[in-house]
Amino acid sequence: MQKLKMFLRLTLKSFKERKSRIAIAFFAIVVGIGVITSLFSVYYDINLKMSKEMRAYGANMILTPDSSNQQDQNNKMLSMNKFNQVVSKFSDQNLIGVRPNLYGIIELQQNSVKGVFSNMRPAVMVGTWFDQVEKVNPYWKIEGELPVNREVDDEIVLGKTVAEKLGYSVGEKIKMKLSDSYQVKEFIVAAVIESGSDADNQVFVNLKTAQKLLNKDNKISAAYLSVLNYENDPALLKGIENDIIGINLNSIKKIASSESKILDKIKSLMYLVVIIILLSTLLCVSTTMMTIVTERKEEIGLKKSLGADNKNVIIEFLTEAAILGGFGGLLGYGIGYLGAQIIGQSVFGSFISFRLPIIPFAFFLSVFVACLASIIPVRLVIDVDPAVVLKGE
Amino acid sequence: MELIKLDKVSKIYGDDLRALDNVSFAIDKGEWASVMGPSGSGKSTLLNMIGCLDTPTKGEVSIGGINISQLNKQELTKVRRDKIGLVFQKFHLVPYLTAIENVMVAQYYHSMADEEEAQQALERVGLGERAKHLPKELSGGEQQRVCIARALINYPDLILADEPTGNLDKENEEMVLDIFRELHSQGHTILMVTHDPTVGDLAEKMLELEHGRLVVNSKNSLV
Amino acid sequence: MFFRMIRRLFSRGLKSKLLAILAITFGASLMTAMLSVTLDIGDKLNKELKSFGSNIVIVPESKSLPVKIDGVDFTPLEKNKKYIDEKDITNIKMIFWRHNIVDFAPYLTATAEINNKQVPIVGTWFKNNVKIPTGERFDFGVKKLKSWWEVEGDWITNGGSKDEALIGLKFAEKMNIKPGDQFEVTINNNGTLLSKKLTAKGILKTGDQAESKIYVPLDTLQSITGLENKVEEIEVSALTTPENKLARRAKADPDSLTTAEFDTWYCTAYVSSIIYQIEESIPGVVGKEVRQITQGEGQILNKMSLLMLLVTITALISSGLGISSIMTTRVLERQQEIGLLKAIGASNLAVIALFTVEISLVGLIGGLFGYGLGNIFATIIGQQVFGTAISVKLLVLPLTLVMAIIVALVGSSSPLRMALKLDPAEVLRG
Repeated sequence: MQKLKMFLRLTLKSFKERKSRIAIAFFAIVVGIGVITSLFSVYYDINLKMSKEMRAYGANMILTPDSSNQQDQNNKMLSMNKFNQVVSKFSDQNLIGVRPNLYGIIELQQNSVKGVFSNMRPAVMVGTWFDQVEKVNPYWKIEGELPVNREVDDEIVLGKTVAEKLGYSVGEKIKMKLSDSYQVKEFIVAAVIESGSDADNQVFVNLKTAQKLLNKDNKISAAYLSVLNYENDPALLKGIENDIIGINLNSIKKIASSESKILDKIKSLMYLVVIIILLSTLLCVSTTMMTIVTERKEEIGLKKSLGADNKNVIIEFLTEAAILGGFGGLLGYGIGYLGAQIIGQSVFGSFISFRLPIIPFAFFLSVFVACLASIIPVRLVIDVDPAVVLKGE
Repeated sequence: MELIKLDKVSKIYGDDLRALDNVSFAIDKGEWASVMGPSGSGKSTLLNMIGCLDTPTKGEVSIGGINISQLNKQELTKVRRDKIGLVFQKFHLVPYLTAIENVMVAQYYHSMADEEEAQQALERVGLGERAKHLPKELSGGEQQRVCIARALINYPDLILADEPTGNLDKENEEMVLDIFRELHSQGHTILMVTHDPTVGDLAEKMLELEHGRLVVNSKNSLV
Repeated sequence: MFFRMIRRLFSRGLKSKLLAILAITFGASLMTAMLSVTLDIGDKLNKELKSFGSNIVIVPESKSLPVKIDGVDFTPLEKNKKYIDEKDITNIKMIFWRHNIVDFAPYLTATAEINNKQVPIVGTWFKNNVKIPTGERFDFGVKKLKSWWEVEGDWITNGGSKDEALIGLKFAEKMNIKPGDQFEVTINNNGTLLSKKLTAKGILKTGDQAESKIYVPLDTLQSITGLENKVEEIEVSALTTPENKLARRAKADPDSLTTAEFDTWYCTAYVSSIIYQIEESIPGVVGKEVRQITQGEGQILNKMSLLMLLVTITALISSGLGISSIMTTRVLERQQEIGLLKAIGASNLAVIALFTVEISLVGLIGGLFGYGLGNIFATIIGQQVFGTAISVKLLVLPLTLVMAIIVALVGSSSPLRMALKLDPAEVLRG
C-alpha cells in the first residue's frame, strides 16, 4: 500500500515538475490521436457519404412492366398500384427519389410568325412528377421553373432540342394535339431543360395530365429510382420482383457497376492514405516520446545506483507513458471527432456518424504507442552502467 | 573484522589499458578510509567496483563476506541496495523530486518509503526545514547533505563517497565533513575518494593509487 | 569558427540528431506523399470516372426532331437524312485537347427483321485499331467505352469477320438465339429487301435499352444499307475539367467572351471547349454534353479534391507537430550548452544563428530523405489504387523542404527563446 503510494507520488511528481516536456509529449499524443481519430471516422463513413454523392448521377434503378409477357404488347403498362407497392419496399432513408414516367406520342405546333400556317410535328410526351426531378435527374439544367405541384395541368416543360427546333421559349404558349384525335390543348411553357440525352427531344407534363390526355388513368410506362445501399443486398431486387407480379426491376448497370468501381477505388485510396498517415503520425509521436525518454538516461542511472532494478525503472516509465497515453488518447479522440465533423460538414454537408468502437481504439492505440515509444529507449539505456552515467563530465 | 576485501584486483579496458593493476587491501568495519591519487590513477574505477557498479576483470572483491566478482547485474543491484550508500561529487538528485522525496526514493527501492524516517534523516544533516524544496532551490552544500541523508537512509554497511566536497566551498565543505566525522564516530564504515590531502587526512586508513597500482596503504598517524 | 562549430555538431553529434532527422523524415514523407496524391488525384479519378461512359455525343446538324421512347424509334421516315462522314471521325483525336480524348465510338442504326420480328440493328466499332492522321494508332470502340457491357460468348473485333453480331440479351431470349447460332437479317432499303446471314458471336448484357438491339461491325451495316462511310452519331469520352463560371458563360454564348477569356476557355479542358473544338474539326456536326455524366463527374471530382485537401491538411498538421515537438525537446535538452555558449560571451544573436543553421540543416537532410520516402508512399498508393504511379510533381520537393525547415525552426523557436532568457549561471549550476 505504502509502496504504491510512493510509486504514484514518484509518477505524479515526474509529471508536475517536468511540465514542458510532458506538455510536448502530451500535445504530440493528442494531436496524433486526433488526426488518426478524425481520419478513421471519415474513413468508416466514406462509403456511405460517397454513395450519396454518387446519386449525382441520378437514377440507378428502373422499374418496367414484365417484358416476358409478350402477348399483351399494346398494354405495356404498369398500374400505379403496383408502382406504389414497389416504392414502399424501399425505406425512406435509402430511397433518394423516384420518378414515374408515362410516354405517349403527340403532335406539337411549330411556333411561327403570327397568322402564317404552321405545321404540327410529332414528339414524345412524358407524364412525370416534377418534384422528383432534382433527386432523380439532378444533372438537368433547368431554365424557368418546373411545375412541382402535381396538380398543375396547363404547364409544359420542353426538352432543349424541342424548344430550339420548334422555336419556343419559357413563358410562351404551345398547342398540342393528340395523335389519334383532333383534341387540341394549349399549354404554357414553364421551363426548358437540357440533359444531353433523349430527354432533350421530349416534352414533359404532370403525370396526371398525361394520364388523362392519353386516357391511361393510373397507368405508367416505367419508373426511375435513385436508391442508396441496395448493392449490399443482391437478393433485394429479385425478392421484390417475386413479391409483385408483372414487374421488372433492374439496376441500371451503366450507373450501378461504374459506381461500385469508383467507390471501391475511393475506399481503397482512403484506406491507404489513412494507413500511411497513421504510421507516420505514430512514428512522429514515438520519436518525440523517445527523445524525451532518452534525455532521462542520467535519471535512470541514478535510480539504478540507488538500488532500483530494471523492473522498477521499466514499470515507472511504463506507468508514466500509459497515463500520458490514456489521457492524451481520450482528449485526442475528442479533438479528432470534432475534426471529422469539420471534414464532414465542409465536404459532404453532413455529420460524420459517431462510432463507439473508435473510442477504445483511440484509447488503446494511444496507450500502446506511448508505452512502446518509451519502452524502446528505456530498454536501450537501461543496461548502461550507472557508473558511466554518473561519472559526470 | 574485514568489511571490504580486495584480492589482486585488476580492471583492464580494451587490450591493455589497466585502470587497476593487481590491487589488494582490506577495510575493517567502522574504519574510515580515504583513497587518494591524481586524475586517471584509477580512483573512480576502484570506487565503482566497491560500489557494485562494476566488476573486476581479474581478482576478487568481497563485501561483508560476499564475493561480488562473479555476480550478475541483478545480483549486484541487490547487494548495492542492501549494503551500500552512495554520495557523488555532482550530487545527482532527481531534479523533479523534493529533498525528502529524493531520500524516500532510496527507501522505496530498498524496501518501503517512510516519510517520517526520511524527515529524521534530513534533520540529522540539518535540513529538516528544507525538506519540501526542489534540488534547484537548494545550495550545493544542501544538495550534498540531501545526498548523504539519502545514502544513510537504508542503514548501509558502507558509505561510499566520491569527492563529496569537490563541488563545495570551504564553509559547506566543513559542514559536510562534520557530518562524516559524526557518522564515523557512530561506527559507520566510510570509504572516501578525494584528491584533497586535508580531507584525506581525516581518515584512519590512507590508500594511494598511481597508474592503477596501490602505492600507499598505511594507517594515518595523525588520527 | 562558426562553420567549424556547425561541422563539429554534425560530425560528432550526428548520432544524437538521428532521432530528429528520423522524425523530420517521416513528417516530410507524409507531406510529400499527401501533396503528390492530392495534386494528382483529379487526373486519376477523372480517368476512373470514364467508366461511366461517354460524356459527349456528336450528331449531324439537322432540323429533325427524333421521336424515341426507351430507344425505340418512332421518328417518321425522313428524306435526305444527314450523316457524318466516317473519314472525319479520327479528327476528334486531332483537336487541341486530343490527349484528353479517351475513347469514342461511331454508330449507324437501321431497323432489321429477323424471323418477321423487327429489331434495331446498330453498326459500331467494338475494338477498332484506328490510325489517326498523325500516323499513331489507337484502339477505339464500345468495348472500352461501355465498361459495364458484359458479353456471354465472344466480343467482336473490327477488321475481323464481317458476318458477326452481338445480340442484346432481351432480344436473344425472345428469339432464343445462343452464341454460335446463325440467323438471317433482312433490311428494307428504300423498298429493296436485302438479306444477310450473320453469326451470333455473343449475347450482350448491358442493363439498358441495348439489350433489345443487335450490334454488328460498322462496315457490315454500312454495306448492307448502302450507306458507305456514313455514321449517325459518335459517342466520345473525354477527360474534362469541372465547369466554372467562365465555362458556363462560354457555353451560353461564346461570342460574349473577350479574346483573353476565349483563349483561357479554349485552352482549358472544359467539356464545352472540347465540344467546340470537335465541332470545328468535323464539318456539319453539333456536340451535346451528356449532363448526367459531366455533372455527376464534376461533383465527385470536386468532393474528392476537397476531401483530399482536408486530409492533406490534417496530415500536414500531424507531420508539422511531429517535427516541431521533436525540435522542442532537442533544444530543451541543450539548455546547458546554450548557457555555456552565453557564459563564454556569445550574444543571443550568435546562439540563434548557430541553432538556425543547425536546425535548417537537420530539416534539409530530413526533408530530402522524407521526399524520397514520400514518393515511395505515393507510388504505392498510385499502384494499389489506380494501377499507375502517381506522377512525381517537381513542385512538391521545394514545398516539402521549405515546410520541413520552417516547421523545424518554428518548433524550436519557443524553447530557444526560453533558453536564451535563462541566466547562464543558473543553467550551468544545475
